[in-house]
Amino acid sequence: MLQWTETLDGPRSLVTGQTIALVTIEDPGFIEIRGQRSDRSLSKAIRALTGSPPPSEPWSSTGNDHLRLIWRGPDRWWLLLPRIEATKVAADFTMTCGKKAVIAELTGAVAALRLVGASAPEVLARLCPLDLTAVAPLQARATTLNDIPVTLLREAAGVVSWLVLVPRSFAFDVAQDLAWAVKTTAPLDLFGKREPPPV
Amino acid sequence: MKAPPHRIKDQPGTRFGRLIDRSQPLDFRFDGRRLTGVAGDTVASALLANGLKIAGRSFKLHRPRGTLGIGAEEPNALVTVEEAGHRTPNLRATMVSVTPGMVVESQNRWPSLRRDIAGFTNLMKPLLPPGFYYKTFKWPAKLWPFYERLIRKAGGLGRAPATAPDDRYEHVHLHVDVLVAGGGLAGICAAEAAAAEGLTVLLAEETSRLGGIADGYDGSIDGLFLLDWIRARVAALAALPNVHILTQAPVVALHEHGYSWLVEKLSGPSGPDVPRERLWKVRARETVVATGAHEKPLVFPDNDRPGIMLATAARLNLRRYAVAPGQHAVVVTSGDEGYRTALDLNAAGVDVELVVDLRLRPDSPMVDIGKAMGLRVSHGSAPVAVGSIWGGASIDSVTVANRLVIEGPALKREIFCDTVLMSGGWSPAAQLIGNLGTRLPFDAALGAYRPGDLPAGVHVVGAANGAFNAADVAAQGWQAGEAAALRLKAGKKSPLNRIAADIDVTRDDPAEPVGMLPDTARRSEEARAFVDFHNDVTVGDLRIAVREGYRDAEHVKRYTALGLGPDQGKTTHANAAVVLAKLTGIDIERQPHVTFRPPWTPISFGVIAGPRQGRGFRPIRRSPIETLIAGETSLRDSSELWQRPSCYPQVGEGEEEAVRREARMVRSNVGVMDVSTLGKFLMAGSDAARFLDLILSTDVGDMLPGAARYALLLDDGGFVIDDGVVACLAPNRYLLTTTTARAEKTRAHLERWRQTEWPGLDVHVIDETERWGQFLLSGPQAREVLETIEGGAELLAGRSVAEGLLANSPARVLRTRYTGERSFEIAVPTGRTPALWSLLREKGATPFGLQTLERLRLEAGHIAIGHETDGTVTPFDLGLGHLVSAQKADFIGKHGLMRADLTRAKRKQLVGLIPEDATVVPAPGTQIVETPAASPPRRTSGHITSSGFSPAAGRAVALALIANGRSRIGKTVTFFHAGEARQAQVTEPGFLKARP
Repeated sequence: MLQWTETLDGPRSLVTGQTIALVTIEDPGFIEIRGQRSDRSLSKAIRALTGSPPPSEPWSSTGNDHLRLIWRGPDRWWLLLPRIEATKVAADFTMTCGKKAVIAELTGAVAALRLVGASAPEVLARLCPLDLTAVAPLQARATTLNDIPVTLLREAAGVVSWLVLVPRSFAFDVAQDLAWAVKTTAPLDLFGKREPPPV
Repeated sequence: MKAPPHRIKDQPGTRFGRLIDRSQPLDFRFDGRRLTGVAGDTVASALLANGLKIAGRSFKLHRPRGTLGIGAEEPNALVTVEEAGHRTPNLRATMVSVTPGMVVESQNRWPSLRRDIAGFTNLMKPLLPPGFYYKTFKWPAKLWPFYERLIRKAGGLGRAPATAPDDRYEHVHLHVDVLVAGGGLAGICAAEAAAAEGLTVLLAEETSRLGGIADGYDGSIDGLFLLDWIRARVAALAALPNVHILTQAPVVALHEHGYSWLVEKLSGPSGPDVPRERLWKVRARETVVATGAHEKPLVFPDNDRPGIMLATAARLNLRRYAVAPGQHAVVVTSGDEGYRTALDLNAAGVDVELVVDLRLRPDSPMVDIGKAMGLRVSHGSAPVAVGSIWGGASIDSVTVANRLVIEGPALKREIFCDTVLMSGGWSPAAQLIGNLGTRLPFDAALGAYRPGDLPAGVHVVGAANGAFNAADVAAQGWQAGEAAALRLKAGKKSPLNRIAADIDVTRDDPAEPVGMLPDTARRSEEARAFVDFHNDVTVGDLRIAVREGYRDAEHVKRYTALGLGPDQGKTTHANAAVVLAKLTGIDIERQPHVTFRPPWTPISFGVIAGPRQGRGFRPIRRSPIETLIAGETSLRDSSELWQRPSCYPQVGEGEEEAVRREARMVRSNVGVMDVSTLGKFLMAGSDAARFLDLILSTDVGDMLPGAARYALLLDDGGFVIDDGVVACLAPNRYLLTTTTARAEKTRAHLERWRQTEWPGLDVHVIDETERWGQFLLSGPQAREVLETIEGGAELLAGRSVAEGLLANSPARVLRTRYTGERSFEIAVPTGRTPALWSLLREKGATPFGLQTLERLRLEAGHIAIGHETDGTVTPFDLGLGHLVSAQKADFIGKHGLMRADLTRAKRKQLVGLIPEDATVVPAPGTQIVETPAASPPRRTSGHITSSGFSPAAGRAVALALIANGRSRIGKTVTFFHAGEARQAQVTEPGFLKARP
């Protein structure tokens, strides 16, 4: 059996600060689903897998702790799940989703990092042009980090946590750029309490 | 401590020296001399306090110059500062705070500021008119390299540091409702009004303090002194959760759609984790420009001498740093502003010899106050000459005369003084809106450009909008904040929180706009009346430019260098407009200003680059086996963002030796190359075949599962843009591979046609490029190697493409012959490629790189996109007409191929070339010459597209595109190599048959 080598090898916790931690996670299982939301077979198969119909709101996601289905276009969804299950799930899905849908297992195409902590928005502001305040919990966006295309997923409400999905070939650069931004010690302190400037 | 010559005595309770702490002296060095300032001083104020009137030498004429202004508009006092290990040239002394141990150097002089050898240039001024470099240094022509070296050495101001500092710069993105550019009174009021409506506000100020130049004025708001009121408002703003205030962060550029750049200079030492500067990329839904105004100098003979300063700048130097510009002052003013300065000087103990009011009959509260306080005033007068000592190092008198008649001794008066303070009124500093392409109309009453129509979402307020009284400034600020809120909350019914205040500040009469003084100046006087201080442009220079036919402001700017200095013409534009209008006779309101381009103020290259420096200059895409091969080769070829190994040299091998060795191994045994970078696209859906038939020139519709074909992509014109392999994996499921360099473009090409031209087709394009790592296994032993791996034999059973398991991993195997040898492209999920690479190496496959692949395919006579194609080559030119379907009704490029020019005879055709001299390898691009005996230019008929030494053939070989190439097979052509004509035989492409 050909062993799997994680995209981002090395310590799981890349860098931490008082209010921030950047961690790598295992290469996720990744399945791309193409089809029409109105396709009953597809909708039924997705509901059976995730417990919910396929998300229709742009950039919204459904799922649970185990897997997450992300809207990526009017006829396109990304399914993230544990890598070990991906091949079987893709095969089973192909059998149940009907003839019109297209299921492609793309495990290995993206690597994942997680940015956790109150300072996460400040770290991302150093790299990402997105208006992060416009991204609700469990919503995603396609954007860039230092000009590298990524998908960001804001994770559950109540915890400041962002999942960064990056094309595998760019993962090393993105991890370094994020680590660099975390280590910057000149805080932005955006809209925070400050002494008034002198007059 | 003895007070320096121009620092006025400490007068507690007065309005002077509010920013300094005399109890904290600070030593620093200026041009090697130890000087003392105090905490709070700028370099400019400290130099003035120490009696140093000369702060720099002008750019062209090396005239001694003193500080003119108080802030970013300063054109003269440019210095190099060394502190904390950083050396930074071209800083304005008015914007740099003194720190202990700082080393400051003046610029553009040698050996010293006082005795600059290049000062003789000033004597040569008549020989250095505008555009002199277009007229002189022409003869003799052979001396031009010498002249050029001299000119280049004389050019420039400060010297860049010898070593690149190890500084860090960062970019930060921010989205807000309202950006307020400028932290003076107008900006504070605008921020306050917008914040009161719940909007998120970014207030950005260029200096380290808010309030602008409000400290130069007396008066009250809501019963509080002006500054105290501002302090209270700033404190209230800072406490709001929806307001963010930045200082030392000027807005340097305004772009469309509310996108702006701010450059923040961070305090404190920088380091590996601490940026030195920060570029804010702000996206604001509304923008308020509250950038104030610049005081206009007056234009009169020798108005550039050290000791001549802007009146408000002198007043602010007194109020902020307790520094007087001199002991005996003459104030020349075209408005009420000069009176304020005269009153302050008076109160500070400076003798105000005379206030020269250019206006004939001014009648305003300030004039009344001035006279009541005992100021001596002369109305309707103007300065006509300046006397100086030391050959111009310092002034000692000014001659004034009646503006109406200046001839005759009785009408001229020489006044002894050591400083002249001038005020020509105010010019709105609204150049930022010019970044948006907005033109500012000329306001004749103001004598300056002033904002007119504005783009939606942009507001200009306060002095930047031509309002100079505190009540008007504040009102405009509040109104802009409210207007921004109205636009953003359109449709929502909550009433606005209106803000107002009781403002009591003396209202000035407007200044009279004036051009050159005296009004009837002689040519010799014009030649010494400076309009642009930094670039030494005088009224005389402008007259010469107009005489030579340059009448448009843009032409005059470029011909005379007007406004081209680091100050970007902040103190220049308004005066230049008035002077040019008089010289050209063109109505000033029809004379548009030059284009105002960003940045507003000079910024460092480092902050523009931000994180894109050094290691971070460009992202690198990494192959899944990068960590395995990184130590094996450092020879890389760039292809898009990939860095692909060129070859894998062994110890003692150079690149060419390694390539030849690897090529021989592939031909005789088996080699393995990482081709994970190739584009891989899955096309699935009931119309997948139909879609591919439309996209490719090759027939696809008849392919059965397991079949694979070499295919071409053409553009609309019929020219080859990419090649690859199309494979049928299953019914309605196809794989298309493309070249590495074109992968992204081809993906975009596929999506563009799918979404915009054929949206009704049931087909999806899924990018699998990053999903699969891929190796090319090539050579006579390739099959045997693959069969020794579990599952390999099954994958090789009788088909061109197969999917299955290889060593228990999902895999695809595609047969190819690109190298001319039996080859297989083996794809496994990227996470498993390191293991597969190691396995194949263990089984004896020799790694080979991109250069080796190039050599192998050259020997095989196969094309490479980008080598044999250049956007003008058709499949028929390449001898690949069999890849163009004769039966498909339509495909991209079909109609283009029918054009007469693409079907004519004598088009360039791909052929092979075998040079007569087996060791001569002509470079790609070498022309095939038809008339080698003729003198240049010679007639050519084609060019070499690829070349190299063929290990298989034992000689140099090449591919070429030659007119009518195929009809010349067997014949000889000529090319030039190292200056000599060489012969080559034309053959079919491909040289493996020729191998011994």
